[in-house]
Amino acid sequence: MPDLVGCRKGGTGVDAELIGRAQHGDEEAFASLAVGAGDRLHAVAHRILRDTDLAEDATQQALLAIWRDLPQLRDPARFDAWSYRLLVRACYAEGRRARQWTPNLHILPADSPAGEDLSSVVDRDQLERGFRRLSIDHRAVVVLHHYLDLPLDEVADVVGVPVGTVRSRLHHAMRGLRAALEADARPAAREVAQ
Amino acid sequence: MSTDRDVTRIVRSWLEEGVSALPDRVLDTVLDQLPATPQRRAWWPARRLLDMNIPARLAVAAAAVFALAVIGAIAIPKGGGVGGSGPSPTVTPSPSPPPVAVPLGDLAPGATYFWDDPCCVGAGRISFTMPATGWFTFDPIFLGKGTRNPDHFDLYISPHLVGNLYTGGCHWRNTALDPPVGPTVDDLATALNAQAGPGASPPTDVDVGGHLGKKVELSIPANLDVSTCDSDGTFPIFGRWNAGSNGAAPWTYGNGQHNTVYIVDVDGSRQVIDTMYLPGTSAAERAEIDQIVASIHFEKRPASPSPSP
Repeated sequence: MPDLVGCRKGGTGVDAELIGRAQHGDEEAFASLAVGAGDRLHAVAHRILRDTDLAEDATQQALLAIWRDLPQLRDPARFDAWSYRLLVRACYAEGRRARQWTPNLHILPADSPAGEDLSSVVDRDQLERGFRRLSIDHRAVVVLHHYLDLPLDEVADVVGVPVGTVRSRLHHAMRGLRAALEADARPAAREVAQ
Repeated sequence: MSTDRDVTRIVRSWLEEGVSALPDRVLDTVLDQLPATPQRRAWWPARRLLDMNIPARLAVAAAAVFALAVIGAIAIPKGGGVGGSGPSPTVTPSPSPPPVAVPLGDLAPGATYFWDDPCCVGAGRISFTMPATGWFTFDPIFLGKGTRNPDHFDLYISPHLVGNLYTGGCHWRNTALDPPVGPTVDDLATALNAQAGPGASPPTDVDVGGHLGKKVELSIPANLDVSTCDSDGTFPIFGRWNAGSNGAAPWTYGNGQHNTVYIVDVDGSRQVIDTMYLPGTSAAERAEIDQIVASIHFEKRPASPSPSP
């Protein structure tokens, strides 16, 4: 039975033996790892960047960085957190690139989930706008904490800042999202500079 | 109005939506590039310091000292002292360019901004001038400065519309005053002062932007672990008042936090300006808060939408 590590939401339950082989240049082993990790990395990138093309580019860059730097990963149990760190870096890079070349990212089409849980389409639009006003730093902590369910100390480890900073970012991001949700209840005042 | 738990639930539900699967073509592209992408082998120093002989160790140490000296000479500004952060360079505001809405990110010293969000500003808009570098915001109604950690506020200033008060303190949930605090400046100042407990200095008269009001000083005990306080749904808060859509306030950054709360009447609307600093904040930094307060003007809200910077 393979030695699985990292089993939980947002984790792949990666095979330590597979990681070991990939660390020594085994491309087939890495392909297996990438198949397992690709979807979860892409899901996170998509939620941070809110753009399909940027998310695919970020995931591609992150997977290549994982291949390149895998020999430096000492503890296979940390593969998931380590791969998220590389992904978040790739998201920063893609976010910067997008800002240089386009004035605005285009809004994702809203995918209606089978089990409708949001109160309305308005909520979705307001959240999308509010989320897009946040910096990539702030979006990353929201997604890592509220989508992946990572505890704050692990979020801090992934994004490479102190736990207090993560708390502060999360606090302000959630306040911003709350304000966005409530924006429909009052007249439009102004748009914050993007 | 949504509760914090509602917002968290809605955000979590929203995040669950959307695509997850990585298209095969992206994975194929990655795998195609592997042969041309060399792996970086773990790098370990060929010789560790302790393995070196004494002359070699001295040479390494001397090189390190020299490098630090060069970096220090470049990094330390002329006239700057050693250790501790001096006051930020202050600037003289240039002749009154029109105020602009508070942007996200860094705030320019000397620039004049305004708040007009109805969440927190009761009448018209509030303009003010930034006195120094280092101020920034994640949230347009919440300006702060982190002197020790650039992403954590050690001092801030924020407008509020205060609804009711809590009896106050670490465990503030279900402690809203009943009957609620009255509508006037004096009502709020008196109730906040009572909340501060015996020994607190009485409210003092202030003039903010030509409007008279009261100032109340509030401190969280230095020996209280604020992480044990009731949460607003995301973070612990030493709850003193309810700020409407912004929930329990003031936002709590640490033990010993000191808030100076300005309460003024602006054309019949009770406006609160909440300021905060943590212990250890320099007098120069605290003076910057005073400078912002002193620069405040209350203006009529323009008829047309306000410009973004």
